[in-house]
Amino acid sequence: MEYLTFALAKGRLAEKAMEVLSHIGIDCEEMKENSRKLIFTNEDIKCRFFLAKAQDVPTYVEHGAADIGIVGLDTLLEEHKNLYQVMDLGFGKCRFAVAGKPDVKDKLDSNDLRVATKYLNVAKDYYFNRKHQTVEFIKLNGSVELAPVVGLTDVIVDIVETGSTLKANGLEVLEEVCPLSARLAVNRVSMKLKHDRITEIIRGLKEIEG
Amino acid sequence: MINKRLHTPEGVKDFKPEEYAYKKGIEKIIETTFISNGYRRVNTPTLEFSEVFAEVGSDAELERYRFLSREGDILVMRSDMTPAICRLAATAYSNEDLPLRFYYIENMFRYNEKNQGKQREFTQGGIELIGEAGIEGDCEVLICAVSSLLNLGLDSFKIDIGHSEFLEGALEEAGVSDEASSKIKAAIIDKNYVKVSEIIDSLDIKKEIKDFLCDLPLYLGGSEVLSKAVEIFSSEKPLRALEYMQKISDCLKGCGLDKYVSFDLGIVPQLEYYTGIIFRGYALGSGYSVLSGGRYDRLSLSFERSFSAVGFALKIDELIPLLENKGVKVKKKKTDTLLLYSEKGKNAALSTGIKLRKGGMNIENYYGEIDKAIKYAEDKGLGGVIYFIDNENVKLYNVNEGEETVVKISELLGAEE
Repeated sequence: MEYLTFALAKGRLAEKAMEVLSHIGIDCEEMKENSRKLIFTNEDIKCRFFLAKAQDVPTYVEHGAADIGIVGLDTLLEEHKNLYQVMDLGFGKCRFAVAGKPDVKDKLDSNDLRVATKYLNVAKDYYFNRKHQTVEFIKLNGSVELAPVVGLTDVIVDIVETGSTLKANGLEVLEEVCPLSARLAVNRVSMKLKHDRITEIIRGLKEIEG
Repeated sequence: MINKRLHTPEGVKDFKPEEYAYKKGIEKIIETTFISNGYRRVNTPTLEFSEVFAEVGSDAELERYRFLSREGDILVMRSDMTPAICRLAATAYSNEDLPLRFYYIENMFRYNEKNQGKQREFTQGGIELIGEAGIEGDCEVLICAVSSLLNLGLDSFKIDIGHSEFLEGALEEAGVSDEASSKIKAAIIDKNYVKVSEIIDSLDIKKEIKDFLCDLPLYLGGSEVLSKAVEIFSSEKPLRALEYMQKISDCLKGCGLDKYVSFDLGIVPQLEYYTGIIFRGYALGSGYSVLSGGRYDRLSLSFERSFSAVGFALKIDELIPLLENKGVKVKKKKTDTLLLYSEKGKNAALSTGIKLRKGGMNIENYYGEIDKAIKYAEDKGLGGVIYFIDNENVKLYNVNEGEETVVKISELLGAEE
């Protein structure tokens, strides 16, 4: 039998994913050991697992280097790769939102708004296709909250979980963009050629969720 | 900034002799399958008026290389052979000439997205069967598709078959509004089944159909998928499509090819010209589809004719790494002999070379010393060296055995004849 390869987004999402998968009999002892291995195998169930930076998970799945990817919707929306998005796994819940200082509220619909974000594609889709608004984007790579605080931009488009970082810096959520959670992504060829095993996983996960 | 003199543009590439020989060898195998099924090769121009491709759909339009000719026409580089062959059939042949069986192996051009592992100039080999309507034509083309992959030495592959009318009919039966229906189809094309479920969940439709639509990605498999769906639907359109797919399944089972096909009820035509079956081939070891095709009975209308047509194309560039990994070998024509000479035997060497080549040998010239020449022949895997001692005598080296014999040139040519 061919291996079924999982690409997991490094961090909390991967831990949670392995926990959920263990409920349907998919686990990997090798992963729990502290090792420098990059790829982990469970020969009994013919599954392989590897951890990757979240942004790279869709790429591995698109090219078939992984059959299945577990990654946040935020990454799927931003990377927009050619793959199957088959299931909302229900964990890793958070949301995309527009945040800024309360005093920019009346400027939110104007065309001279400046927006900082790590998620340029998501932000463009939101402003161009949903709000039909032409705004100026500034791409940043981390601590996006800083931008409105130091006056680089009016607002940010970013992931918001609890909102405590925003609050601590005098910012607040001004507009909701969309809710987010972890997704099960499948390579388009694996979906066809390893259909039975993948179906079994989807059914299993739906059952424990249901 | 890159020094453009030293690079090729995004998405196009050079082929070195070994790579090119392999690619041509693979194309030869494909071509043999097409010819053995009664197809004849055609070629159409690399450039076409953009109008020829107008029916293909608006998304595909963005992928095309388009430019203005000096005459002011918008030209495109062909991105797909089907409309061009359809144009050819519509303009150069009459109804009495049907059916027509054409094949092609040509380069196509598409602005595939950067850094996605896809070339923008790529080779497709395919067939078009024109004027053979319905099940007979569809089965012929599907069998040819399966045979092409089998003849290439592949065995772990599936051709995934759907019907352009099925989902349309299913949504109609459910009474889904046009607006919701196009949203659902867009989400399916986007392969986003989470979104499909979200849209379906919000609709007030019959429970069986609702469950079916939510489980759409699971409706993939052998003919049992068709029988399951027959239980769910009752209106003519979806049932007709299911019945048609069942016939295809029976036919392929009849010739023992059913294990290479699966049925997929969640297929939505991505190219607007498909009107019946639509299919894609997937092979284990490749992350992309390696073949795609379908029926396009309405495309001829845009060329002011009306004939049925069905065809498919193999994506040769996706197949090559797969076949290499599997160790599939191709026949290669290679150089077998080195013609070694110095100033002394030059005239005889060059004129004898012409005669030997005419006799079918592949010979490379070498002007220089014996020792270096033999080393060179060994390195390049050439079996023999013909050394022209003077204008009358040659010494023959068998590089593999290490033997050498001296003969007269007249004897050498005599032996060849």
